[in-house]
Amino acid sequence: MSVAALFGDRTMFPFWEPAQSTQKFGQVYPAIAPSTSSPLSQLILFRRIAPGWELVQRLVLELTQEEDGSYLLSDNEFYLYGQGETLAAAQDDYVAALLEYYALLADKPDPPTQAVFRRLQLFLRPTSL
Amino acid sequence: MPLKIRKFEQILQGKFGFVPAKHRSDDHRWYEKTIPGCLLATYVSHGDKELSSNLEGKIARQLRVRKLFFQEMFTCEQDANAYHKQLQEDPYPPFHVRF
Repeated sequence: MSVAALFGDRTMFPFWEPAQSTQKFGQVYPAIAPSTSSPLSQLILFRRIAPGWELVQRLVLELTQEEDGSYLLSDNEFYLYGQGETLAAAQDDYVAALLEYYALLADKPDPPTQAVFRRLQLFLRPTSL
Repeated sequence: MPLKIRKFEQILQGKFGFVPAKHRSDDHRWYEKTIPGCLLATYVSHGDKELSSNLEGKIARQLRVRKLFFQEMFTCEQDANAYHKQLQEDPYPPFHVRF
């Protein structure tokens, strides 16, 4: 499956905002852009991904299409995933999981979990609205 | 045969000791387990009925086991002791941080 076919002939950064984007998190946030290194099965999240949240490092997501046509996005940093009937829905689901994971880790005082949390904070940070 | 989500959640909790996470989400049901040196966390989406093969692979990574071992966990071929041993000897993917 070609990501380029889904989003049109996109070969350039900066980021593209899908027209049907993110019913949950709003339409104004730059969300998905084809990866310039591997445009067929990888997408990138970067910068503002939800109200009050931004990725300060690029997060590469692997894109898989399920047998029923739905989409599965997942990362190889934190092993989170998002799924949905559309790519935008899968993105919403992934971002929701990422924010939930942040809250889960932030709540734990033990040193090993806090070390993982600090690593997550290298990617994801709250922004001033 | 695809693993039913409810069965997955039951075995995850009853056999492997995962507990529902404190934080509630509109989108996902999270489960967590703390073993010495690390926190394991996994989740499923509200409304899903069964795990696809791809999704099994993703969740297996969250549990730090290979997919085959994951499948054996939920067909009763691997018990909690075997899982803990696997986490100590050969977590996959490896933990980024170990204490």
